[in-house]
Amino acid sequence: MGLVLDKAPYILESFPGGSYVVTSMDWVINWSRKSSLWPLSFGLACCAIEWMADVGSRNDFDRFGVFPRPTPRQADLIFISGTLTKKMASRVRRLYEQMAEPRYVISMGSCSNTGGPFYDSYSVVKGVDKVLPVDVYIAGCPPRPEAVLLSILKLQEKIMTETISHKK
Amino acid sequence: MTDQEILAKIAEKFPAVVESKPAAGTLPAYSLTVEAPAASIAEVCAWLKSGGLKFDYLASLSGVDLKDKLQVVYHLYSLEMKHKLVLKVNLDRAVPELPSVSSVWQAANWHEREAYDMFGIKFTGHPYLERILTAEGFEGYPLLKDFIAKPDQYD
Amino acid sequence: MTETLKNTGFEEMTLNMGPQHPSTHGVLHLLLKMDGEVITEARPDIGYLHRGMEKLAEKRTWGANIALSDRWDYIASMSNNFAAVLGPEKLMNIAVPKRAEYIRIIMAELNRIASHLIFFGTYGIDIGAFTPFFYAFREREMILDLYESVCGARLTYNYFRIGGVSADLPEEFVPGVKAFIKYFRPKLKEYDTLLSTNPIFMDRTVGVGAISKEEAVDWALSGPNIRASGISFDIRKEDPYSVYSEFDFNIPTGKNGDCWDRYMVRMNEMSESARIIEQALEKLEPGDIMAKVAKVIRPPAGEIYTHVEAPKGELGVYCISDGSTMPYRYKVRGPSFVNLAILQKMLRGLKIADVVAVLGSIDIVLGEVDR
Ligand code: SF4
Repeated sequence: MGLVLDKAPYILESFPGGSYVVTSMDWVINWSRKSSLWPLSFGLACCAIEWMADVGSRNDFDRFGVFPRPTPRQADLIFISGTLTKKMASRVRRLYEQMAEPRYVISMGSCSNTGGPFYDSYSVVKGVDKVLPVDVYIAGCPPRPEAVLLSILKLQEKIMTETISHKK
Repeated sequence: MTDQEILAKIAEKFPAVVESKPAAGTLPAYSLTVEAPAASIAEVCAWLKSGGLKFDYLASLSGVDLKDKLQVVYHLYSLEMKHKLVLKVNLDRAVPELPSVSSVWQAANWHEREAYDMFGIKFTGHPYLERILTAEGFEGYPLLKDFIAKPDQYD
Repeated sequence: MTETLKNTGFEEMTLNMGPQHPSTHGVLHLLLKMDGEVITEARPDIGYLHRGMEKLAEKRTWGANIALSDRWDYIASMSNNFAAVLGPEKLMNIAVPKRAEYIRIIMAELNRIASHLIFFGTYGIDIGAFTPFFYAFREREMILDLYESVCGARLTYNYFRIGGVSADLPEEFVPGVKAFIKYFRPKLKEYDTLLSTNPIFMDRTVGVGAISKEEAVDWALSGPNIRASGISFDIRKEDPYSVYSEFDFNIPTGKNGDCWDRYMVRMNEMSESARIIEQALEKLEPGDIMAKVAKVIRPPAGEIYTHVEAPKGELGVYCISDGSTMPYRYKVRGPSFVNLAILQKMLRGLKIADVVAVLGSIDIVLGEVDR
């Protein structure tokens, strides 16, 4: 699939009207990606409990096609749900690298956005974006489960703007 | 047993262990507090546990930095006889060392590792005295009052 | 290395479990030495959530420390709040109004139920049953709704104040709690039929990871873990704080100290908590919710060790004040930290598949282990 997606736009776009095909392919690919976001079931701190509430009965993010996977190799989304400490930073980076592309990162809560209530601690990373590229930030300490659902919708919007075309 | 009785029993066995008086201007202690010399702490604790006082429960072990000296504070409890004792040991700041009590109460094992990690207090005879909470390669002892965090790539 | 290993020339294997593992309840790293399927040595490696709370506490005012305390054991923040206010209150000799005391107890006990519900749900997942999780979270959300109506937060409440609580109960709270208890009692029976006596569940937990009385005391376990071994040790009875001495409740204990006993103690505790809440609701009368306390909190110089019975066990705070607005030393004795230490002893000799059963039954929260 990877090779085809890489080469196809080149070939198609060299024909007149080929970009129409490419954009239609974009839509199909993006739609399928956004509708089955599988996050890594992974929690760091307090925010992870609210994340669990999202898995739980009332909020149930399964209905957005979000279905937690226990291993990074099957996941394409990672929630950094909580305080990232310096001891954990390299491990999170490793987890991220083990995930299959395309992969997305949602930073959940003040801690992983900026360090949060521990902004002056000697052992806390001041924002997960020092370690990983982040797609969506959620504010809150902890963010409400609804905010997490919103972040998924926002990420889906973002995914819909992606393209395989080489003419950016 | 009343505090006085406990104190008398301890003094009979270990004359070096004395009641610790709070410094002038501070509140009186809430529970019986005694001070023991660092060198004999393991024997004192072993006796406290198995002697007549039966302090079988080590509730907590904390390090404290008092600027001129370091202190280790043991909060003991007896499940059987329902009495409490606070045991304090003063340490020299330059060479903070005292015998480990992890052979007396297993619970001391991690508490002592934590005190070592946070204050650099060395517990001699501890089975595995390694840093427990801080990251690999961490330098300094964070809970010392003169600790200054060195910013790194994560700050 | 065991004899068989030596003779056959096979090697011991080191297995790393965590820090990312679906059933380590956060970021715990276990180093396991394995002889085939049998664990010969286990070493928990903690600190992946070490946030330096004790250092931060020295840079925060006494009041701001209550907000930090929310993040120790983030499943039971109300109990943490409780522990955080008791010390300064005793140092300053503040008499908390009766109404505030009862409100505190209602909150703490509701939180115990919420915490044990999370245990029930996640322990089910550990053993391989996913459904209890949904049941538990359904009920837990109701408690969170009640909390939200009082203090506006679902997880980090910051509700207690030195001298009382921050806000009075809204009108719908008391009927809400009554309705919840009425709804919740039959649910406990449902849980029992769902999981407690399920043969598969019992096969995996009965007789696994037993802790004897002596071991439990030696390792200073507390909370449901020590009670499962048959020792009726509960701070609420042993050293009653607040107004716990006014209530009539039992302390459930176990017999063998195995995983199933630890599980059952928690299940039984939930109904005891419900009893305490009912009694507290009876006693609740209109009145003040805050004592007269100065705006700037400056406890006189002195030191104190206070402890509360948190859902996980004895949560102690050893605070030293030097008379300023910030604590001089603020040591937190997290029950999870102490309870987790025994894991290295318990796992030796067990099979690899039992690790999650044992670990889950201790019920740790990494926020409190690492602080
Ligand atoms: S943002 Fe708040 S709730 Fe989330 S992990 Fe940090 S302290 Fe906990």
